[in-house]
Amino acid sequence: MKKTWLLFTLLLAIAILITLISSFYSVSEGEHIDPSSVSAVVISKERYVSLRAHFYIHPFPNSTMTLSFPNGSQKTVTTSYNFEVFLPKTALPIEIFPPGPEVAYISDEHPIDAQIIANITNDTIRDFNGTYFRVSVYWFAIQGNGSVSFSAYGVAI
Amino acid sequence: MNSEEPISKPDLYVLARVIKVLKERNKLNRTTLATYTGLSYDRLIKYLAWMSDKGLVQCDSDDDVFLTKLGAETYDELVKWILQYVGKLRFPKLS
Amino acid sequence: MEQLLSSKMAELLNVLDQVKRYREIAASMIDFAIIISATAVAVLILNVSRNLWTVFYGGSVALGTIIGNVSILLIILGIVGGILRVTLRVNAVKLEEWKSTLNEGTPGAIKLLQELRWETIFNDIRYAKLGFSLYGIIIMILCWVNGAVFLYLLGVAFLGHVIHLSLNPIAIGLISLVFALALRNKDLRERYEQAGHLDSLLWELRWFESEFRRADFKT
Repeated sequence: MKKTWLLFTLLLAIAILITLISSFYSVSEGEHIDPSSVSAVVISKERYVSLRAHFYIHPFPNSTMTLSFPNGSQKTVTTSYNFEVFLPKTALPIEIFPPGPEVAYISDEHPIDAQIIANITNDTIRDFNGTYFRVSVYWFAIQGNGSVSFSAYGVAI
Repeated sequence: MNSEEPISKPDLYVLARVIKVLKERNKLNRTTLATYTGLSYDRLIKYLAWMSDKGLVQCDSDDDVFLTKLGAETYDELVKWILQYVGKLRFPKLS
Repeated sequence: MEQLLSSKMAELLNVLDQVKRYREIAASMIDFAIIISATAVAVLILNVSRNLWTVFYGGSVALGTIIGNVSILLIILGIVGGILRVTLRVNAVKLEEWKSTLNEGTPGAIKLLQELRWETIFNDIRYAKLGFSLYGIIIMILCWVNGAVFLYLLGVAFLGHVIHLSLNPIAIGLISLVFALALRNKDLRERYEQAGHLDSLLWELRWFESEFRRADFKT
Protein backbone atom coordinates (compact mmCIF):
# COMPACT_ATOMS: atom_id res chain seq x y z
CA MET A 1 0.00 0.00 0.00
CA LYS A 2 2.85 2.37 0.88
CA LYS A 3 4.49 1.62 -2.46
CA THR A 4 1.26 2.42 -4.29
CA TRP A 5 1.07 5.80 -2.57
CA LEU A 6 4.72 6.48 -3.35
CA LEU A 7 4.15 5.67 -7.03
CA PHE A 8 1.06 7.88 -7.10
CA THR A 9 3.04 10.75 -5.57
CA LEU A 10 5.85 10.32 -8.11
CA LEU A 11 3.37 10.31 -11.00
CA LEU A 12 1.78 13.48 -9.63
CA ALA A 13 5.23 15.06 -9.39
CA ILE A 14 5.91 14.10 -13.01
CA ALA A 15 2.64 15.70 -14.11
CA ILE A 16 3.49 18.91 -12.23
CA LEU A 17 7.03 19.03 -13.60
CA ILE A 18 5.85 18.45 -17.17
CA THR A 19 3.39 21.33 -16.74
CA LEU A 20 6.28 23.43 -15.44
CA ILE A 21 8.54 22.46 -18.32
CA SER A 22 5.85 23.45 -20.78
CA SER A 23 5.92 26.98 -19.35
CA PHE A 24 9.39 27.52 -20.79
CA TYR A 25 9.71 29.05 -24.24
CA SER A 26 12.58 29.83 -26.54
CA VAL A 27 13.11 31.53 -29.85
CA SER A 28 16.22 32.00 -31.91
CA GLU A 29 17.06 33.48 -35.25
CA GLY A 30 19.93 34.76 -37.32
CA GLU A 31 20.12 36.88 -40.44
CA HIS A 32 22.40 38.92 -42.64
CA ILE A 33 21.65 42.61 -42.30
CA ASP A 34 20.88 44.63 -45.42
CA PRO A 35 23.66 47.27 -45.36
CA SER A 36 21.61 49.74 -47.39
CA SER A 37 18.91 50.23 -44.73
CA VAL A 38 18.31 50.25 -41.01
CA SER A 39 17.07 47.01 -39.47
CA ALA A 40 15.68 46.37 -36.02
CA VAL A 41 15.94 43.42 -33.66
CA VAL A 42 12.66 43.18 -31.74
CA ILE A 43 11.84 40.97 -28.77
CA SER A 44 8.19 40.92 -27.66
CA LYS A 45 6.80 39.08 -24.67
CA GLU A 46 3.73 38.83 -22.51
CA ARG A 47 4.23 40.90 -19.36
CA TYR A 48 4.01 37.82 -17.11
CA VAL A 49 7.01 36.22 -18.84
CA SER A 50 10.58 36.58 -17.53
CA LEU A 51 12.98 36.49 -20.44
CA ARG A 52 16.70 36.48 -21.09
CA ALA A 53 18.02 37.20 -24.55
CA HIS A 54 21.54 36.84 -25.96
CA PHE A 55 22.55 38.82 -29.01
CA TYR A 56 25.54 38.06 -31.26
CA ILE A 57 26.71 40.70 -33.71
CA HIS A 58 29.13 39.60 -36.45
CA PRO A 59 30.39 42.34 -38.78
CA PHE A 60 31.92 41.15 -42.07
CA PRO A 61 35.69 41.62 -42.39
CA ASN A 62 36.69 45.26 -42.70
CA SER A 63 33.14 46.37 -41.94
CA THR A 64 31.39 48.07 -39.07
CA MET A 65 27.97 47.70 -37.58
CA THR A 66 26.20 50.30 -35.45
CA LEU A 67 23.68 49.50 -32.77
CA SER A 68 21.24 52.23 -31.71
CA PHE A 69 19.19 51.79 -28.56
CA PRO A 70 15.87 53.52 -27.71
CA ASN A 71 17.52 55.53 -24.93
CA GLY A 72 19.67 57.26 -27.57
CA SER A 73 22.94 55.39 -26.86
CA GLN A 74 24.88 53.89 -29.71
CA LYS A 75 27.62 51.28 -30.11
CA THR A 76 29.78 50.69 -33.15
CA VAL A 77 31.48 47.30 -33.53
CA THR A 78 34.09 46.08 -35.96
CA THR A 79 34.58 42.57 -34.53
CA SER A 80 32.21 39.98 -33.10
CA TYR A 81 30.30 41.36 -30.18
CA ASN A 82 27.71 39.77 -27.91
CA PHE A 83 25.56 40.95 -25.03
CA GLU A 84 22.56 39.78 -23.11
CA VAL A 85 19.52 41.43 -21.55
CA PHE A 86 17.16 40.22 -18.86
CA LEU A 87 13.54 41.34 -19.18
CA PRO A 88 11.77 40.59 -15.89
CA LYS A 89 8.08 39.93 -15.60
CA THR A 90 5.95 42.97 -14.84
CA ALA A 91 2.59 41.31 -14.31
CA LEU A 92 1.04 38.14 -12.97
CA PRO A 93 -0.32 35.49 -15.33
CA ILE A 94 -3.79 35.92 -13.84
CA GLU A 95 -3.91 39.67 -14.32
CA ILE A 96 -6.70 41.02 -16.50
CA PHE A 97 -5.82 43.89 -18.79
CA PRO A 98 -8.15 46.46 -20.37
CA PRO A 99 -8.72 46.08 -24.10
CA GLY A 100 -6.38 48.05 -26.32
CA PRO A 101 -3.84 47.74 -29.11
CA GLU A 102 -1.69 44.64 -28.76
CA VAL A 103 1.08 42.91 -30.64
CA ALA A 104 -0.68 40.56 -33.04
CA TYR A 105 1.62 37.55 -32.92
CA ILE A 106 1.85 37.34 -29.12
CA SER A 107 -0.67 35.18 -27.28
CA ASP A 108 -0.84 32.85 -24.29
CA GLU A 109 0.16 29.95 -26.56
CA HIS A 110 3.01 31.96 -28.06
CA PRO A 111 4.07 34.39 -25.30
CA ILE A 112 7.49 35.32 -26.65
CA ASP A 113 8.54 36.33 -30.11
CA ALA A 114 11.65 37.74 -31.72
CA GLN A 115 12.16 39.14 -35.19
CA ILE A 116 14.68 41.00 -37.30
CA ILE A 117 12.80 43.61 -39.29
CA ALA A 118 14.57 45.15 -42.24
CA ASN A 119 14.09 48.65 -43.56
CA ILE A 120 12.40 50.19 -40.54
CA THR A 121 10.67 53.53 -40.73
CA ASN A 122 9.53 56.08 -38.15
CA ASP A 123 6.11 54.44 -38.14
CA THR A 124 7.69 51.11 -37.28
CA ILE A 125 9.63 52.73 -34.46
CA ARG A 126 6.39 54.31 -33.19
CA ASP A 127 4.88 50.81 -33.08
CA PHE A 128 7.86 49.48 -31.12
CA ASN A 129 7.53 52.29 -28.61
CA GLY A 130 3.71 52.01 -28.40
CA THR A 131 1.80 51.46 -25.16
CA TYR A 132 0.70 47.88 -24.84
CA PHE A 133 -1.08 46.56 -21.80
CA ARG A 134 -0.33 42.86 -22.06
CA VAL A 135 2.90 42.92 -23.99
CA SER A 136 6.30 44.51 -23.48
CA VAL A 137 8.67 45.15 -26.38
CA TYR A 138 12.45 45.43 -26.35
CA TRP A 139 14.23 46.56 -29.47
CA PHE A 140 17.33 48.11 -30.91
CA ALA A 141 18.21 49.27 -34.40
CA ILE A 142 21.19 47.90 -36.29
CA GLN A 143 22.89 49.14 -39.40
CA GLY A 144 25.96 47.94 -41.26
CA ASN A 145 27.47 45.02 -43.11
CA GLY A 146 27.25 41.74 -41.22
CA SER A 147 24.90 39.37 -39.48
CA VAL A 148 23.05 39.30 -36.23
CA SER A 149 21.73 36.26 -34.36
CA PHE A 150 19.98 35.92 -31.07
CA SER A 151 18.44 33.36 -28.74
CA ALA A 152 15.86 34.12 -26.11
CA TYR A 153 14.65 31.92 -23.23
CA GLY A 154 11.56 32.76 -21.24
CA VAL A 155 9.47 31.27 -18.48
CA ALA A 156 5.81 32.05 -17.85
CA ILE A 157 5.41 31.46 -14.10
CA MET B 1 -3.25 -54.24 19.98
CA ASN B 2 -4.96 -52.56 22.88
CA SER B 3 -5.49 -49.31 24.78
CA GLU B 4 -6.35 -46.23 22.64
CA GLU B 5 -9.49 -45.67 20.64
CA PRO B 6 -8.77 -45.93 16.93
CA ILE B 7 -9.06 -42.76 14.78
CA SER B 8 -11.90 -42.38 12.31
CA LYS B 9 -10.20 -40.74 9.29
CA PRO B 10 -6.45 -41.24 9.22
CA ASP B 11 -3.97 -38.84 7.66
CA LEU B 12 -2.63 -40.57 4.56
CA TYR B 13 0.77 -39.02 5.16
CA VAL B 14 1.10 -40.61 8.60
CA LEU B 15 -0.12 -43.98 7.28
CA ALA B 16 2.38 -43.85 4.45
CA ARG B 17 5.22 -42.97 6.82
CA VAL B 18 4.46 -45.82 9.21
CA ILE B 19 4.18 -48.35 6.38
CA LYS B 20 7.34 -47.11 4.69
CA VAL B 21 9.40 -47.36 7.90
CA LEU B 22 8.10 -50.88 8.58
CA LYS B 23 8.84 -51.87 4.96
CA GLU B 24 12.42 -50.71 5.40
CA ARG B 25 13.01 -52.06 8.92
CA ASN B 26 10.86 -55.20 8.87
CA LYS B 27 9.75 -55.01 12.49
CA LEU B 28 10.24 -52.49 15.27
CA ASN B 29 9.09 -51.91 18.80
CA ARG B 30 6.59 -49.10 19.23
CA THR B 31 9.00 -46.66 20.85
CA THR B 32 11.56 -47.02 18.07
CA LEU B 33 8.80 -46.83 15.47
CA ALA B 34 7.57 -43.57 16.99
CA THR B 35 11.12 -42.19 16.77
CA TYR B 36 11.59 -43.23 13.15
CA THR B 37 8.21 -41.92 12.04
CA GLY B 38 8.55 -38.68 14.02
CA LEU B 39 5.21 -39.23 15.74
CA SER B 40 4.37 -38.82 19.40
CA TYR B 41 3.94 -42.19 21.11
CA ASP B 42 0.24 -41.60 21.85
CA ARG B 43 -0.50 -40.66 18.28
CA LEU B 44 1.39 -43.68 16.98
CA ILE B 45 -0.65 -45.98 19.24
CA LYS B 46 -3.90 -44.59 17.79
CA TYR B 47 -2.66 -45.14 14.24
CA LEU B 48 -1.42 -48.64 15.02
CA ALA B 49 -4.82 -49.47 16.51
CA TRP B 50 -6.54 -48.31 13.34
CA MET B 51 -4.05 -50.07 11.06
CA SER B 52 -4.31 -53.26 13.06
CA ASP B 53 -8.08 -53.09 12.79
CA LYS B 54 -7.74 -52.87 8.99
CA GLY B 55 -5.23 -55.70 8.91
CA LEU B 56 -2.32 -53.56 7.72
CA VAL B 57 -0.03 -54.26 10.69
CA GLN B 58 0.31 -56.89 13.40
CA CYS B 59 2.09 -57.35 16.70
CA ASP B 60 4.17 -60.39 17.60
CA SER B 61 4.75 -61.96 20.99
CA ASP B 62 7.50 -59.45 21.81
CA ASP B 63 5.11 -56.58 21.09
CA ASP B 64 7.13 -55.64 18.00
CA VAL B 65 5.10 -54.25 15.11
CA PHE B 66 5.41 -55.63 11.61
CA LEU B 67 3.75 -55.01 8.27
CA THR B 68 1.26 -57.53 6.90
CA LYS B 69 1.04 -58.57 3.25
CA LEU B 70 -2.11 -56.43 3.02
CA GLY B 71 -0.20 -53.51 4.48
CA ALA B 72 2.55 -53.79 1.86
CA GLU B 73 -0.04 -54.13 -0.94
CA THR B 74 -1.95 -51.14 0.42
CA TYR B 75 1.18 -49.04 0.19
CA ASP B 76 1.66 -50.01 -3.47
CA GLU B 77 -2.04 -49.26 -4.10
CA LEU B 78 -1.56 -45.82 -2.52
CA VAL B 79 1.34 -45.08 -4.84
CA LYS B 80 -0.69 -46.25 -7.85
CA TRP B 81 -3.70 -44.22 -6.74
CA ILE B 82 -1.71 -40.98 -6.51
CA LEU B 83 0.04 -41.71 -9.81
CA GLN B 84 -3.39 -42.14 -11.39
CA TYR B 85 -3.86 -38.39 -10.98
CA VAL B 86 -0.36 -36.94 -10.86
CA GLY B 87 0.71 -39.16 -13.75
CA LYS B 88 -1.95 -37.66 -16.01
CA LEU B 89 -0.64 -34.12 -15.63
CA ARG B 90 0.99 -32.71 -18.75
CA PHE B 91 3.31 -29.84 -17.97
CA PRO B 92 4.15 -27.15 -20.52
CA LYS B 93 7.77 -26.14 -20.81
CA LEU B 94 8.18 -22.95 -18.82
CA SER B 95 11.47 -21.16 -19.31
CA MET C 1 6.67 -47.00 -9.07
CA GLU C 2 7.68 -44.88 -6.09
CA GLN C 3 10.48 -43.38 -8.13
CA LEU C 4 8.06 -42.54 -10.93
CA LEU C 5 5.79 -40.81 -8.41
CA SER C 6 8.72 -38.84 -7.00
CA SER C 7 9.81 -37.80 -10.46
CA LYS C 8 6.28 -36.71 -11.47
CA MET C 9 5.92 -34.77 -8.22
CA ALA C 10 9.30 -33.12 -8.80
CA GLU C 11 8.08 -32.06 -12.25
CA LEU C 12 4.91 -30.56 -10.76
CA LEU C 13 6.78 -28.76 -8.00
CA ASN C 14 9.44 -27.43 -10.39
CA VAL C 15 6.69 -25.95 -12.54
CA LEU C 16 5.10 -24.37 -9.46
CA ASP C 17 8.51 -22.93 -8.56
CA GLN C 18 8.69 -21.36 -12.03
CA VAL C 19 5.22 -19.89 -11.45
CA LYS C 20 6.54 -18.42 -8.18
CA ARG C 21 9.33 -16.72 -10.13
CA TYR C 22 6.95 -15.33 -12.75
CA ARG C 23 4.65 -14.11 -10.02
CA GLU C 24 7.59 -12.31 -8.45
CA ILE C 25 8.13 -10.50 -11.78
CA ALA C 26 4.55 -9.22 -11.55
CA ALA C 27 4.98 -8.25 -7.91
CA SER C 28 8.19 -6.39 -8.63
CA MET C 29 6.58 -4.30 -11.40
CA ILE C 30 5.65 -1.68 -8.81
CA ASP C 31 9.29 -1.43 -7.70
CA PHE C 32 10.25 -1.05 -11.35
CA ALA C 33 7.65 1.67 -11.88
CA ILE C 34 8.82 3.51 -8.75
CA ILE C 35 12.46 3.48 -9.89
CA ILE C 36 11.58 4.66 -13.42
CA SER C 37 9.25 7.36 -12.07
CA ALA C 38 11.86 8.57 -9.57
CA THR C 39 14.39 8.76 -12.42
CA ALA C 40 11.93 10.76 -14.51
CA VAL C 41 11.33 13.14 -11.59
CA ALA C 42 15.09 13.59 -11.10
CA VAL C 43 15.67 14.28 -14.81
CA LEU C 44 12.75 16.70 -14.96
CA ILE C 45 13.89 18.57 -11.83
CA LEU C 46 17.39 18.82 -13.32
CA ASN C 47 16.07 20.22 -16.57
CA VAL C 48 13.57 22.61 -14.97
CA SER C 49 16.38 23.89 -12.73
CA ARG C 50 18.66 24.28 -15.75
CA ASN C 51 15.97 26.19 -17.63
CA LEU C 52 15.25 28.46 -14.64
CA TRP C 53 18.97 29.11 -14.18
CA THR C 54 19.30 29.92 -17.87
CA VAL C 55 16.47 32.45 -17.74
CA PHE C 56 17.32 34.15 -14.45
CA TYR C 57 21.10 33.88 -14.30
CA GLY C 58 22.14 33.19 -17.87
CA GLY C 59 23.06 29.73 -19.07
CA SER C 60 26.02 28.41 -20.96
CA VAL C 61 26.68 25.73 -23.54
CA ALA C 62 28.79 23.90 -20.96
CA LEU C 63 25.94 23.89 -18.44
CA GLY C 64 23.54 22.65 -21.08
CA THR C 65 25.93 19.88 -22.12
CA ILE C 66 26.59 18.80 -18.55
CA ILE C 67 22.89 18.72 -17.67
CA GLY C 68 22.14 16.88 -20.90
CA ASN C 69 24.80 14.26 -20.24
CA VAL C 70 23.76 13.83 -16.61
CA SER C 71 20.13 13.44 -17.72
CA ILE C 72 21.06 10.69 -20.17
CA LEU C 73 23.21 8.99 -17.54
CA LEU C 74 20.34 9.14 -15.03
CA ILE C 75 17.93 7.65 -17.55
CA ILE C 76 20.32 4.80 -18.32
CA LEU C 77 21.02 4.21 -14.61
CA GLY C 78 17.32 4.31 -13.84
CA ILE C 79 16.47 1.70 -16.47
CA VAL C 80 19.39 -0.51 -15.46
CA GLY C 81 18.49 -0.08 -11.79
CA GLY C 82 14.88 -1.02 -12.46
CA ILE C 83 15.83 -4.14 -14.38
CA LEU C 84 18.39 -5.06 -11.72
CA ARG C 85 15.79 -4.71 -8.96
CA VAL C 86 13.38 -7.04 -10.79
CA THR C 87 16.19 -9.53 -11.45
CA LEU C 88 17.33 -9.48 -7.81
CA ARG C 89 13.80 -10.03 -6.51
CA VAL C 90 13.20 -12.90 -8.93
CA ASN C 91 16.54 -14.52 -8.10
CA ALA C 92 15.79 -14.21 -4.38
CA VAL C 93 12.74 -16.48 -4.74
CA LYS C 94 13.51 -19.66 -2.80
CA LEU C 95 13.26 -22.68 -5.03
CA GLU C 96 13.25 -26.42 -4.34
CA GLU C 97 12.30 -25.97 -0.70
CA TRP C 98 10.32 -29.18 -1.20
CA LYS C 99 13.35 -31.30 -2.09
CA SER C 100 14.09 -32.66 1.37
CA THR C 101 10.41 -33.59 1.91
CA LEU C 102 10.17 -35.30 -1.49
CA ASN C 103 13.28 -37.35 -0.64
CA GLU C 104 11.09 -39.23 1.85
CA GLY C 105 9.37 -40.87 -1.12
CA THR C 106 5.61 -41.47 -1.19
CA PRO C 107 4.96 -40.03 2.28
CA GLY C 108 6.78 -36.85 1.24
CA ALA C 109 4.76 -36.67 -1.98
CA ILE C 110 1.52 -37.02 -0.01
CA LYS C 111 2.56 -34.33 2.45
CA LEU C 112 3.47 -31.94 -0.36
CA LEU C 113 0.16 -32.58 -2.14
CA GLN C 114 -1.73 -31.98 1.08
CA GLU C 115 0.08 -28.68 1.63
CA LEU C 116 -0.64 -27.22 -1.81
CA ARG C 117 -2.93 -24.17 -1.57
CA TRP C 118 -4.75 -24.40 -4.88
CA GLU C 119 -6.54 -21.06 -4.94
CA THR C 120 -3.26 -19.31 -4.19
CA ILE C 121 -1.58 -21.30 -6.96
CA PHE C 122 -4.31 -20.41 -9.48
CA ASN C 123 -4.08 -16.71 -8.52
CA ASP C 124 -0.30 -16.86 -8.80
CA ILE C 125 -0.55 -18.32 -12.31
CA ARG C 126 -2.95 -15.57 -13.42
CA TYR C 127 -0.78 -12.90 -11.82
CA ALA C 128 2.35 -14.48 -13.28
CA LYS C 129 0.89 -14.40 -16.79
CA LEU C 130 0.17 -10.69 -16.41
CA GLY C 131 3.57 -9.82 -15.00
CA PHE C 132 5.45 -11.91 -17.52
CA SER C 133 3.72 -10.29 -20.50
CA LEU C 134 3.84 -6.77 -19.03
CA TYR C 135 7.57 -7.00 -18.34
CA GLY C 136 8.26 -7.98 -21.95
CA ILE C 137 6.20 -5.06 -23.26
CA ILE C 138 7.87 -2.56 -20.90
CA ILE C 139 11.35 -3.74 -21.91
CA MET C 140 10.37 -3.34 -25.55
CA ILE C 141 9.10 0.21 -24.94
CA LEU C 142 12.32 1.07 -23.09
CA CYS C 143 14.35 -0.27 -26.04
CA TRP C 144 12.25 1.90 -28.33
CA VAL C 145 12.80 5.01 -26.21
CA ASN C 146 16.53 4.29 -25.90
CA GLY C 147 16.76 3.80 -29.65
CA ALA C 148 14.94 7.06 -30.30
CA VAL C 149 17.23 8.97 -27.90
CA PHE C 150 20.29 7.39 -29.53
CA LEU C 151 19.05 8.31 -33.03
CA TYR C 152 18.27 11.84 -31.93
CA LEU C 153 21.76 12.28 -30.47
CA LEU C 154 23.26 10.71 -33.59
CA GLY C 155 21.30 13.19 -35.66
CA VAL C 156 22.37 16.15 -33.57
CA ALA C 157 25.99 15.14 -33.12
CA PHE C 158 26.79 13.49 -36.43
CA LEU C 159 24.22 13.59 -39.21
CA GLY C 160 23.48 17.28 -38.81
CA HIS C 161 27.10 18.44 -38.73
CA VAL C 162 28.94 15.99 -40.92
CA ILE C 163 26.58 15.05 -43.72
CA HIS C 164 23.97 17.81 -43.19
CA LEU C 165 21.08 15.45 -42.87
CA SER C 166 18.36 15.79 -40.26
CA LEU C 167 15.77 13.27 -39.13
CA ASN C 168 12.32 14.47 -38.21
CA PRO C 169 10.75 13.19 -34.95
CA ILE C 170 8.28 10.91 -36.73
CA ALA C 171 11.08 9.28 -38.69
CA ILE C 172 13.12 8.85 -35.48
CA GLY C 173 10.12 7.28 -33.75
CA LEU C 174 9.36 4.89 -36.60
CA ILE C 175 12.96 3.81 -37.22
CA SER C 176 13.62 3.16 -33.54
CA LEU C 177 10.31 1.26 -33.24
CA VAL C 178 11.32 -1.00 -36.12
CA PHE C 179 14.72 -1.63 -34.51
CA ALA C 180 13.15 -2.31 -31.10
CA LEU C 181 10.66 -4.77 -32.62
CA ALA C 182 13.43 -6.51 -34.56
CA LEU C 183 15.62 -6.73 -31.46
CA ARG C 184 12.90 -7.97 -29.13
CA ASN C 185 10.96 -10.02 -31.67
CA LYS C 186 12.26 -13.37 -30.40
CA ASP C 187 11.66 -12.42 -26.77
CA LEU C 188 8.12 -11.19 -27.49
CA ARG C 189 7.27 -14.41 -29.35
CA GLU C 190 8.66 -16.53 -26.51
CA ARG C 191 6.68 -14.56 -23.95
CA TYR C 192 3.52 -15.01 -26.01
CA GLU C 193 4.12 -18.76 -26.08
CA GLN C 194 4.87 -18.85 -22.37
CA ALA C 195 1.64 -16.99 -21.64
CA GLY C 196 -0.15 -19.74 -23.56
CA HIS C 197 1.75 -22.40 -21.59
CA LEU C 198 0.68 -20.78 -18.33
CA ASP C 199 -2.93 -20.97 -19.53
CA SER C 200 -2.52 -24.69 -20.26
CA LEU C 201 -0.93 -25.20 -16.86
CA LEU C 202 -3.85 -23.47 -15.19
CA TRP C 203 -6.31 -25.82 -16.90
CA GLU C 204 -4.25 -28.92 -16.07
CA LEU C 205 -3.98 -27.99 -12.41
CA ARG C 206 -7.66 -27.06 -12.15
CA TRP C 207 -8.53 -30.53 -13.48
CA PHE C 208 -6.08 -32.19 -11.11
CA GLU C 209 -7.30 -30.24 -8.09
CA SER C 210 -10.97 -31.02 -8.71
CA GLU C 211 -10.31 -34.72 -9.47
CA PHE C 212 -7.95 -35.30 -6.58
CA ARG C 213 -10.25 -33.51 -4.13
CA ARG C 214 -13.18 -35.76 -5.11
CA ALA C 215 -11.11 -38.94 -5.01
CA ASP C 216 -11.08 -41.04 -1.87
CA PHE C 217 -8.45 -43.66 -1.19
CA LYS C 218 -10.05 -46.77 0.21
CA THR C 219 -7.87 -49.25 2.08
